[in-house]
Amino acid sequence: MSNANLIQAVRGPVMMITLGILLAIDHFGQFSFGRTWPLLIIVFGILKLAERAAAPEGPGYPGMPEGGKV
Amino acid sequence: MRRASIVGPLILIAVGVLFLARNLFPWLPLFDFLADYWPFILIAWGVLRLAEILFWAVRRRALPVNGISGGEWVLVILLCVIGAGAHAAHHSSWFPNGRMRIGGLEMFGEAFDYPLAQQTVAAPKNARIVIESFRGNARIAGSDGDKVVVSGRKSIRALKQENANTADQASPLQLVVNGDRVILRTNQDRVGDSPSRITEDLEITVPRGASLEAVGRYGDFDITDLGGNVEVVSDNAGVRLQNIGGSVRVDTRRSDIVRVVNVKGAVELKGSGSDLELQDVGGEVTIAAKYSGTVQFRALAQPVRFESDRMEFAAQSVPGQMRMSLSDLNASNVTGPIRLNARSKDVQILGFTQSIDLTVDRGDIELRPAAAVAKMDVHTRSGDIDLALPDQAKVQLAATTDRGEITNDFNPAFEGRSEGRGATLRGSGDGPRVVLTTGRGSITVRKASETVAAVPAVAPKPPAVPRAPSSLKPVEQ
Repeated sequence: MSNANLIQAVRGPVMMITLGILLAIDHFGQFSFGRTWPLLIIVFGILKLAERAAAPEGPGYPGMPEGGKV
Repeated sequence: MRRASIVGPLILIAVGVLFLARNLFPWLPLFDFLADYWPFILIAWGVLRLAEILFWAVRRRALPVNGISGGEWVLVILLCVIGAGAHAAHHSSWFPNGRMRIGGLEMFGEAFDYPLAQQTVAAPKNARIVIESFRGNARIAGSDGDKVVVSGRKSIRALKQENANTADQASPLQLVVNGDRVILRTNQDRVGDSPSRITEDLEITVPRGASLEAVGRYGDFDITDLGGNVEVVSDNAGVRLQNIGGSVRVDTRRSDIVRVVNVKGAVELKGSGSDLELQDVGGEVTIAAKYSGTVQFRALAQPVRFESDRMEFAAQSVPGQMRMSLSDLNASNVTGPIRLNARSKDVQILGFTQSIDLTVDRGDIELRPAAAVAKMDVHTRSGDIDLALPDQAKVQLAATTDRGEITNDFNPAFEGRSEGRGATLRGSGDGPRVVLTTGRGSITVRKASETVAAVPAVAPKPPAVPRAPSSLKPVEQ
């Protein structure tokens, strides 16, 4: 099990929390969602980046199932 | 096999609890609560899911490929749409009636009218009239007698005459004297599941010295000639007060108009509404409320404080007038010190005295102090500033624009300088400090005598206040 899998699994919940926080700020705080939405893209990008960094080197794609030992 | 998430069952339980609470405690403002706090459902959902996944990762269980499945995202989007709609409906005063009435039975059936027999009780001295939770229009007037007299009619919307009759009998109008209080009960809540079907139009005559506490949920209050204090709490009503001897407190949720004319005591306003008119108030005015329409002040003798989430205004008194909408503020003849803090407003204040402290995010500012000039602090992030000073005024001026020009038609001795795309203008000497800054916009300092329209010495006479209609209209739902 690699960290990349973990980060990929965590991506959905983290995006959802971010969305919730932005909407809460929209309702109670200074900044409207219309101004803060790009943060969603930034968070998504950071998560993708982290996933890529955590993925094993070599050909293949991030999140590719790892082979077992022979 | 991977275990299913814990969040699904939790959401089911939460929805069940919510509906149960709605059925058991119908008076709880659950809708209002959810309209504001629904984003925290998303946060809680995400946090639970995150904790679960981390827990699985620590236990070295198989992880799901996606933390949140496509189906869940569909639910989330649905929640966002409903939540945003509820929030918008909850926070806008133009939304009819504020609450969505689904299953609008009100539209069917017909209205049955029942005259209310006139009721009279002798009022104790300095009586407090209490009107309990009430739906309909009420006209309350002080008179010379010492009796409380109530008359009017009741309108019940029902599918059948029998249903209306039952509802009528279940909701008698009661007038009860309790100590120094005279309580008017409409008992509209006693009727069935949909109390909104009953409305009453009441004419209430009370002794002139009485004070009043009224709680209404729908309909207008029209209150005149009372010597005591008046307190009105209303969910959805126009409130008109005239000739009140005591102080006035009004708390509204979604009123189309609040009009307060000729009050001897203090005025305190809370809540939200559309239009506000205040005129001839002898006491202090404190407003902590949002008005989406036009706010007008005239002849306020004591300090005025107005705060909402978008702006803040304070002045020592407003002998002249002030008119304010979402985008503009026009005032003339205002006694300072004046403090104004607003996000986006074009501001014009003519003929003010004492100091002024003015900050707006966006908006043009036009100022013409009265004969005596005091300290001025004027800031805008984006907008032009136009200051017309009395010809002989002496000031220490510091004007700065980061991007724009400064025109000096006041005193050629002032030192102007261009700096990059901006400019500064300095004038030293004795006299009060005048600081003008704009992030982006031009600044003009000129002589008042050379400006086109001179300041009117006296505020124009306000138009007469319209009389209330002599007969009451039924509430339209």
